[in-house]
Amino acid sequence: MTVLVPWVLWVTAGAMLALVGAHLLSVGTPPTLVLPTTRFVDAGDATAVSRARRPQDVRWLLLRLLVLLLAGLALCGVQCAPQRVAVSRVLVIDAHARDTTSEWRRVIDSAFTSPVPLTGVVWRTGSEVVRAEPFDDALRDSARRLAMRDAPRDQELTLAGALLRARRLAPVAAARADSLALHVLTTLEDDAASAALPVVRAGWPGYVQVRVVPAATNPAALVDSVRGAAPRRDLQVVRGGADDVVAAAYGATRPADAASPAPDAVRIVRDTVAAPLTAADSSHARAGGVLVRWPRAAGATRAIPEDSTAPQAGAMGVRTGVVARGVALVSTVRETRPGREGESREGESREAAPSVRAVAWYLDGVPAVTETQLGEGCVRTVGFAAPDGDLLLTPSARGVLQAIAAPCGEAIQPAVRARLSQAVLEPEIVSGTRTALASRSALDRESASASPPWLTRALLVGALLLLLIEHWWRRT
Amino acid sequence: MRAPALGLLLDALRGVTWPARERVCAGLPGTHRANQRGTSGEFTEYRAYRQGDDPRRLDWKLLARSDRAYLRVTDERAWVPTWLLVDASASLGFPASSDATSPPWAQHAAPSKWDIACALAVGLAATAHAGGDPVGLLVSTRPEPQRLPPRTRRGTVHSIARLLASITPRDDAPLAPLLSRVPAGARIGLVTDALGDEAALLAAIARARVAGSEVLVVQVVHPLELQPPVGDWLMQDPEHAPTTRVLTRERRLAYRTQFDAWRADVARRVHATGARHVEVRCDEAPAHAVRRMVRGHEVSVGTARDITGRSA
Repeated sequence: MTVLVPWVLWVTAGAMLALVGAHLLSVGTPPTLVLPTTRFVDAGDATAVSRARRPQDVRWLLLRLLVLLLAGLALCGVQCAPQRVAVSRVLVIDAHARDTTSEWRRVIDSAFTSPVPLTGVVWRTGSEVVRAEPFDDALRDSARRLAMRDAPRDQELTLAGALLRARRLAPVAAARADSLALHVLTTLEDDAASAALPVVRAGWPGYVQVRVVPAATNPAALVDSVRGAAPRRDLQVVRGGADDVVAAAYGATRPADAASPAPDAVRIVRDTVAAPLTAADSSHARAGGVLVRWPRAAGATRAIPEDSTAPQAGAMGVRTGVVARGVALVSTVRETRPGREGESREGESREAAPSVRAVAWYLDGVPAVTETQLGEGCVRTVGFAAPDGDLLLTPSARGVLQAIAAPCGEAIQPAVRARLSQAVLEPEIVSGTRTALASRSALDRESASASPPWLTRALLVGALLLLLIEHWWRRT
Repeated sequence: MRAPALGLLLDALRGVTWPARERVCAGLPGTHRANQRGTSGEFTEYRAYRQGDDPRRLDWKLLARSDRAYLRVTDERAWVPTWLLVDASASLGFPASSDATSPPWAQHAAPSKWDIACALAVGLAATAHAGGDPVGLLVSTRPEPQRLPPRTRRGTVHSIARLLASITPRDDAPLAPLLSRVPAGARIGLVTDALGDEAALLAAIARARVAGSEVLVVQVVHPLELQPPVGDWLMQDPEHAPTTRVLTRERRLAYRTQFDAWRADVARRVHATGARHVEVRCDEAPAHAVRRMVRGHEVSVGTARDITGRSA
């Protein structure tokens, strides 16, 4: 239980002490003394105030103290929520960290033995998020075992995703703590982690500490199948150039061959976000293929005509990451078009058509990749420019790349949706109806809802009833 | 008044007389100088003969030797009836009692005002009776005042003590009307606390003084009246029950100031009438107080008149 206005409690305590002191003063008619010289005493009130060693009228005193206590609790905004602490911490541990190093043990031990409450632990290797407080020995041992366990190859949650999960924990922890510290124990061998750390650090509402420890295993062994996977023969990247990062990410080394496309092939068209579809592109989509329009950041701006009403690259906001298929690509991506807009062609409604669905989302829930049905196939529009460098080659980009190159109309399987909701996103976020990050108002609502709304009124009514009882009691 | 206390008081006052402070009216031979000059054997002075004087009072031998006519003037000695007026109102009964059921402050307090008033009255009666004066007693009681006529016979003092012992102070019988019952020229001893009808009493004293009476006002004050018990009290006037006041720590000083001022005012007004005022605290020994009252010198005020009625 906590209070919103602590000084009211101090005032209440002072009033209660004053009340006890007042009950030490007996106000009443003193004993009678027959004195012939009474007339020389000044006339005045027939009552006198005398001091006593023990409180007078104990039952009235208790009743009035109870009234003061109830009124004080009502006015100080008592909350039944758990007591807030000054600092709480969230610990993110990279499974690659060698658990035999002294730094690793020191961080683990200090995390579980520090008097600072530990709000949660996000393991890269799994989805367990420990929120029990305080940690007992069993939980500690469990946490040790989890930390020492090697990450499975098919584990989708990367360290960047773990950082995102820690970011998701921030509103929950902030409800119980004034400040939130983030401790990251990582090997920094993961490129996605290197990219995600500055982003998370910028948005973290508190102290962020990153400890670099030696890796336990060869990080190359944990490279996902995307980098080592064989190039997809059914995917074409057109107008992307020889150094296109998208083509490199998909391993699409085969040059575009419009003459013999496979019916269900994926055709990624670069630098055509505002340009009308060509006949070849349209026919590819109408024939059942997947047409992806993914603008290249630098070239798109130059290619968009000036009279076009479509948003230009760089004119929109800067997003901090994209989530697709439960895997988060945490990086600074530049939005090239409104995410909620299906197609930005002139004359079309800015509202998403019924046939338009989201494939990937920004971290705040805004759709980042949309899919529009066209003939037998579909047209996917990527709303952000492909980040420079080799970020698309990292495991964090696997989910986004797979979602973009998936067959048309591929719906999210219920199992995947459940796993996503448990791991990173909730269904509302997946569907784009709610943002992923809790806002401050949401935190306020959560804090306010910790106490029943009728509690203050009930306390005041109770105090009033006690006063009425005292009044009735004194009259009788 | 109890017998042992009475005996001790009378022993302490043995041989003490109460001389008149003024020349008394002519009367039966006594110990006080009378305001008349007659033919007694106690020579005082010669006075030149004036026309109209009684020739029988001429000193013939002096006339024969010196051929001058002088009268032989002598002083007369007379007694003075002494009336003791005792206030028996309820205010004299303070403190009520000193038994075990009384509060601690009352158990260790001085004797009550009534006890002291009785002792003073008996002491004054004894000193007056020792001078051969008749002593009478008037006690203000309801419905009728208690009265003992002035007598000089033996046992008068004990009669006075018995009568006083039979009286319990109560009610608010006024003392002033009793002064009108006292004959003019008598000596009056008023034993009171002056808390009842002091205005009427002062007026009656003034009238008695004009009638030639010597008045001694003995004001009895109890120490508890000067310093009430510690604490807060609901004060109640014994003679006027509806009068209640609360005496607190803050009002104690004002009370004492007003009480002292009132007593000083009473003393001043009594002195203004020509009467004597003596304040006696209840923690003072009665015999000592009586000696203090009767001590002094004779005739300090007033003028002597010879038997012819002329001033000397």
